[in-house]
Amino acid sequence: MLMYGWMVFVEFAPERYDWAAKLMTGGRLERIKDRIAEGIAPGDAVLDIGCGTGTLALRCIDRGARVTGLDSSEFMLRKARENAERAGVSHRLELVHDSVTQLGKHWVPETFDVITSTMALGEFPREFLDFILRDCFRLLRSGGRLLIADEVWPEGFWALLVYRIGITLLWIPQFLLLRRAFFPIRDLRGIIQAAGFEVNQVWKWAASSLQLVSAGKSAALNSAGETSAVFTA
Amino acid sequence: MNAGRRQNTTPSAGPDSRMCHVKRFFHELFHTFFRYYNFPCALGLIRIGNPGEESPVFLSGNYTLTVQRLLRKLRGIDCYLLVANSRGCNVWCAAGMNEFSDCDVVDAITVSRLAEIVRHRRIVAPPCAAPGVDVEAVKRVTGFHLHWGPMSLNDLPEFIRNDLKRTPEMAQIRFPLRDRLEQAAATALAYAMTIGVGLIFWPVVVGKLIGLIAVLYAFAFGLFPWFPEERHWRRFMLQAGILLGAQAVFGYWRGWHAGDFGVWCGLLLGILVLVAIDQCGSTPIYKTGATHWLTKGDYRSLFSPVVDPALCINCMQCVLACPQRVFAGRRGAERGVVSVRPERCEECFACIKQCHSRAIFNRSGRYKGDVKSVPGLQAIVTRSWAHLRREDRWIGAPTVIRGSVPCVVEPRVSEAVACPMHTAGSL
Repeated sequence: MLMYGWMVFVEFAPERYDWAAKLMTGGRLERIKDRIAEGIAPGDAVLDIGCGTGTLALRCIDRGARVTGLDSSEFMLRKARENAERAGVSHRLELVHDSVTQLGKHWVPETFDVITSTMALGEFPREFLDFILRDCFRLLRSGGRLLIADEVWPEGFWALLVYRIGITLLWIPQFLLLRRAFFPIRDLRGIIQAAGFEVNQVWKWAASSLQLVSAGKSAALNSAGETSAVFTA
Repeated sequence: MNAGRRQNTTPSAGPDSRMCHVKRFFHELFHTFFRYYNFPCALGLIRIGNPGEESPVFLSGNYTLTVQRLLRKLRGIDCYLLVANSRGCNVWCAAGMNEFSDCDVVDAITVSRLAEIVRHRRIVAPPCAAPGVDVEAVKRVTGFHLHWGPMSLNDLPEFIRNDLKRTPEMAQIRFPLRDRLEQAAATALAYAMTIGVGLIFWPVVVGKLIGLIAVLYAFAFGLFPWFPEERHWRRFMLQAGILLGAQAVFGYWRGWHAGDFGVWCGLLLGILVLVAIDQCGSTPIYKTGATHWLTKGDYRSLFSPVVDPALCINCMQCVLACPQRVFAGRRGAERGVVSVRPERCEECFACIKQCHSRAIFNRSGRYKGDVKSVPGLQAIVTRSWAHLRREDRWIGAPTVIRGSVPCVVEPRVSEAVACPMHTAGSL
């Protein structure tokens, strides 16, 4: 019965995703999303990869952007649609149900001013991230910005030790609340640079285990980016 | 040179496939006890042996324990193992929870450039993924066709020897002793962790209680197939009778007081109820709600499939995906699929997920609803099936295996009609 009960509880993890993610990141996720939205200008075309329930998308719409959200979970997209309808902005939010490696199929190059993703890319290893970010590089306009926020393996011995102890202790609570393991990325900054972007700024939280990387695609970098993409392949 | 470059992009075989025996033992032990939690390993294409363009490709989720066991099972066979993103969860749960879908399979195929590596377009997939992975969607996007392989990875070597064809036994989900004991151990540990705080205050009582829970889970799961099928609580009663008897003998031997005896009997019965509810809701072979067991006393599912012959396009995907052989094909004059053993259904909704013509209806109108991977599930399983009453004639119909799928044994209607009655009589 206990297992049965836990399973029923865990089954509803997507329902409580918003507050559970807030709890597990100690409210930092909200602040990260606010910071991303701060940099959005009215009229920007924004792509939110792994948009989930659309919390970031709605913030961007508030800033006057047109947002496209991509997610592989239809449940999350339905939630996002409901949230957008409740806010009365569903006409400015386009939602696409597809896998993250199919970006090139939906949009032509240089479509977006801003591409962003929060807590979605950690699940993927380097090879996948290179593939996805190369697609992002193509879809982003020259002068556009890439904003990626995710869990990251902290640098430095002590930070790493504290982080390892932390995730070991929180493994089961995290699973029960979010039905999710921890997926820290190794060298997020390096991966973004390897795809041809120019990293402008990195914000760090929680002993640098949560990072927001802001990177740009400058017009001059265009050809260099292509070379770099071939190099990483 | 090309091949060499690709080699670089292949991830090292996730968890080390060349573990020494001691390390492997502790690895298995740890993951056995923590089976309920997610442990992701690296995604991507793993080369096993020296595979070529025609070598088979096997699909797996990225649950560490499964990938580790697969790598051991496939050792010595030249093949590819495509590890797709199941968020570190086992394929069966991930598929039902919408965490292992065709999107994840498409991602893995695309990023690993499988289409350039192999010439064929066939991937052997675990049938446990059928509740979440839509075969048609994968084919449409990538051109790869998913073939359901054996249910258990232990059958893989035989499946490969058998020219990548599965026997009917391989398609049937089972719950062998090892799996049962693993589940008992993992569940007992989860209990111990939940009530473990009590050890600080009442070490003896809570310690004994944890011991009793472990013993009862080992007893009920270990002897699982030896007890009769649950109908009107008879399985529960039999277990309770045996255990209470054993406890009475033990209590008499140790000279228990009546009060002690009463308390331990209550605890034993309480734990046994918990075990029974765990067994009806979270084993690989049964799935029903706790209320159903408490009120009806059996483990049968709420969902009871029936196929509409007018909608069925005879693609056989439900027959191939079903882990309990609920469906069978009709291979006489009329072709199609019928539901022959709906009472065996364990409500994984693999059939509904794979059926694009929405031909599968629900005879009970009720369902447990823990499967989240089918969009619009509620609308599909609550449709009226009044026009399909006649399809009940197939329930219990004898079946034979033809070309590795179950088919209904039926008289050759077409010939009987073509042959006039009196002629038939004179033969």
